[in-house]
Amino acid sequence: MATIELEEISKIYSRGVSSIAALSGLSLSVKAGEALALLGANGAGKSTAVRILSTLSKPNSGSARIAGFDAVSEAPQVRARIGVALQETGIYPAGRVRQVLRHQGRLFGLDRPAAARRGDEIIELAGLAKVANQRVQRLSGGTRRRLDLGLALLHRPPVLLLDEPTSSLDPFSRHDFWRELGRLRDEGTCILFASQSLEETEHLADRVVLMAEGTIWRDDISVAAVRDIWAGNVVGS
Amino acid sequence: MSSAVESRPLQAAATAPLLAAEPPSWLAQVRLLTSRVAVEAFRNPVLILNLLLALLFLVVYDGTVGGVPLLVSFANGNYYNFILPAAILAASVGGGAAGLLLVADIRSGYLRRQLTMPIHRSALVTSLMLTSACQVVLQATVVILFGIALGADPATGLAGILCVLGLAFIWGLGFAAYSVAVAVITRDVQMTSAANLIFIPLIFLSPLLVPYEYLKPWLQTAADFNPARYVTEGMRSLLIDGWDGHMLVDALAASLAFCLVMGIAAVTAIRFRSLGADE
Repeated sequence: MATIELEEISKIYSRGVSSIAALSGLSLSVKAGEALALLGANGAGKSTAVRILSTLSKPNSGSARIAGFDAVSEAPQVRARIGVALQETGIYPAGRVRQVLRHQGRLFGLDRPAAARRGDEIIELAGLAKVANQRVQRLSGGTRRRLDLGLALLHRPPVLLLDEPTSSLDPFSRHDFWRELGRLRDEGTCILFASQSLEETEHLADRVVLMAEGTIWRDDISVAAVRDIWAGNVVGS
Repeated sequence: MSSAVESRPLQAAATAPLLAAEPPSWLAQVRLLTSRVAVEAFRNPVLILNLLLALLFLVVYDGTVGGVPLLVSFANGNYYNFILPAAILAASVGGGAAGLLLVADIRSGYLRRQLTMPIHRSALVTSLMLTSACQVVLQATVVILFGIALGADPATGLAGILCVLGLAFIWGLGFAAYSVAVAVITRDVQMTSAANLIFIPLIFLSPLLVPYEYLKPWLQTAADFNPARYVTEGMRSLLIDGWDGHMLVDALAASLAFCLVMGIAAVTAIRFRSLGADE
């Protein structure tokens, strides 16, 4: 059984009298231990798909399931099983790095010692040791991004949903995270990520889906083929 | 910071799965969320400004109408006893900090992260309400102490003061929920602040400055539907007349009803926002 399943998902954004179809009958599935990249031009619907799976947005029709749970009617069960890092980081600025990690661990049900231990592991993993006692508001954008990704991994979710996960990271951090995400994938974590970066996709993805106009334009396409298509500006228009 | 320096074998961080079997209970969630919100709320200097505003209200009320013999007669000779509830309800605008804290979480993206976590929406709202209600109680305590220093002498003593603080707490919960609902709908600092201020004239549609019998008929009608009337009169009875079960029950019922309605509005707003409204 697939860990992530999207079936005929449609999503329409309405603004007054106008409306835009962000997703039009999107269907795809991702297995445990598989990393799927959603590629596509701006507005192709990648982020909307990630938001629906993250339970932040509700589809107009179709179904989205994670580990067998429906993302709308069984959202709490889904939330316990996903790690999410969206395009913009989501961390409270007044908190200190170590404190933010421990707090999130507690909210996922870890007891105090386990949350502290796991927080320290993430600090190591994300290269945050030097800023562990600093307030988030003082961190650079890249460091904040590392913390955000660390928060997504903190509770060892079986499913990771990432939107442009390493776009604002320096090359060293980027490679560190690719390696870690690859390791998690090899251990059975199911990863779905939206990206514009062919380099990131090449490092992480087992399968690449190219989206256009809210649906799949090419499934299981090679990165080289995507590069050719983009160079010819076929999708971008 | 150079991540190259800190880069090391990442496998060290990988151990057996650590996913907790169950998310924390609702109560544990409220406690965890409140501990985070409270630290931020009590670090905010606006708390002091709200308190100064309430103290200023107290002094200005007394300075402007405290010498009117008719009004002093309602308060058994001590106008501070009569006007303390007004200053306490004015201080309850401090409960609006809940909405501003929520807007800060929306702006930083933290609310979005919380909405992807196994956290009850009602726990999110409750933590904000509790923090702000505690702020209101703290402010009310300072206002009462200030009033006593100026000459107020509550008829029911310490027990009565504790009852007044209890009513302030419930009222503060309701006002905090109102502010959260506005924050969720507008997602804007200025709109939320403005909505908090709009509350002040609404509080004054009640016998806040003079007894109910002396209000004009239209204002009496408005006061009948205003929970602030019953809370004010309940507090006033404790401070001036002594224990009056009827007044206390009315005050408790009005503040609980206000709290319940606003709480439902806040939870509904946040539920709506999490499923479809945040796009």
